[in-house]
Amino acid sequence: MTVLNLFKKFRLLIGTFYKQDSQLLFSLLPRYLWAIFICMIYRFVFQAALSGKSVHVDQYALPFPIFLISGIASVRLLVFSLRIFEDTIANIRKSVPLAELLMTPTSLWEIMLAHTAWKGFLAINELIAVLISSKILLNIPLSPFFLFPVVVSGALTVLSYAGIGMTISAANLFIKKADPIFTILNQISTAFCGVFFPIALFPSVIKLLALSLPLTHGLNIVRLSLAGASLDKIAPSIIGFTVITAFFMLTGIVLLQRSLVWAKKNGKL
Amino acid sequence: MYAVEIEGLEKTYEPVPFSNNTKASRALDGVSLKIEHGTIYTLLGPNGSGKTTLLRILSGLIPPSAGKAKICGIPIENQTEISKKIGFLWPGRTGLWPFLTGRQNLKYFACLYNMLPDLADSRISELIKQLDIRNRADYPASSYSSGIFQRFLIARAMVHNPELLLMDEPMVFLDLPTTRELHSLLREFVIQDMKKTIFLTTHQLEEAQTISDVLGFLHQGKLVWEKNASIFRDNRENLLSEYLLAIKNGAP
Repeated sequence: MTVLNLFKKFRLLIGTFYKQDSQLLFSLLPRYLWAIFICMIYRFVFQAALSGKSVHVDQYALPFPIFLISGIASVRLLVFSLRIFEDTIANIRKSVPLAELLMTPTSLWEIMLAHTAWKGFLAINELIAVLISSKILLNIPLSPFFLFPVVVSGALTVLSYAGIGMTISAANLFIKKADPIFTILNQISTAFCGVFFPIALFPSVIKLLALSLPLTHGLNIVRLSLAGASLDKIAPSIIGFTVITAFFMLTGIVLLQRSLVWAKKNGKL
Repeated sequence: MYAVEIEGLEKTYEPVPFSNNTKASRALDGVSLKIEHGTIYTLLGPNGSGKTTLLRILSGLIPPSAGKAKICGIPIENQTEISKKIGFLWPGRTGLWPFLTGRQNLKYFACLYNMLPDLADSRISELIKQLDIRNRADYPASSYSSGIFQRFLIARAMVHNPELLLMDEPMVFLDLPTTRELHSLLREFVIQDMKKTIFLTTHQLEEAQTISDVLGFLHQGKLVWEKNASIFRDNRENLLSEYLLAIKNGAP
């Protein structure tokens, strides 16, 4: 086989996988984001290691381990809530044709609400379990009143990402190619919402992006409560986050409802 | 009043944006038919003839582009009332949550139909007894044989006591003994005992002539003919000839 033929063969083989990914931009973008994220976290970890602690952690006056643990535990909330609609549908389709459920007087929204409630309960439990474990195993001080803000923040994070997820699902019903947006949004949130390092570290443009995403606000409330802030101090953050959640939820519901009507009319559900 | 009344039903699927499907396709083209109470009406037709689309329209899953349809006198636009009047069976081993027992599955679907718990419990016990599935009712659905699974599916479709059973190729994945068992179950239990109506679609001619009272043939979205099934019962070849002839004549 000549070199040219070998080249053509590999071009064909690689081309097949390229077609499988279908959208080059969507398959490369998460990888670039991941590279930026890795650079940022190393920079932060080195900074923390050299100085004993990072100046940015002073934002909450939290020890680095609890700052990191609360971030990692919270990021689990968005993993399922983003895909709540897609997962509910996939979960149903595994055993029961979706049509059979849609033919009953119970609406898809009621089934989704039940799914969200159960998954949200599990995820918030996991968050609390991680925080309590860190107190026991790492001897990290926790305020006895940390639970209430953590539960509220967890619930709002789940709801707001469910709203964003429904918006993406609405697009997915319509154009069938929006799936990679879930991965990209998940990675953007993980990288830039202060999971591993405070958003104060970022340039103002990325800070703005971080502030527009719900996880930033959720983590802020969790960390304030872990730092022992009083409810008076946390309340404005909770109110602000509630407004953001309401916006994302309403947008998601309206767009998904419209897409569902369209998909139903055209037999695409 | 008929169990099903359809008049000039049409369905055109619009093109999907950002896809290869750029042309509108006509799935149903002026279908009209009537089904009497307590009978089994079988709709025959090749793939893509519009059978499933018709069932989906009747069940309220997709709206028609034109025409009218009523189930037990209720227009199909009245989705809430229609959902109480119909039960549905899809092909294959789906329709029950595998991790729930048969009884729990029936309770789940009764809950989706907003049935009161006491009423649901008594209805489920009655169905389990009538369908002779008591000894498997408290085992997970994943452990059921195909025959038992089908019995639970019938119980599930009947749990809210509908007037009409819509069945889309219900026997397509079943072996011959299970198919025959299901035929007699449908005829004896659903039609004779429960006095319900069945509207089913199939490609299987033997199934159609064995189980049906009336046969209809759908091709390219049009109802080509309707005949009494008894005329084919003694001679299967006749039905096969009619089937092939209808395809030949209906082809453009």
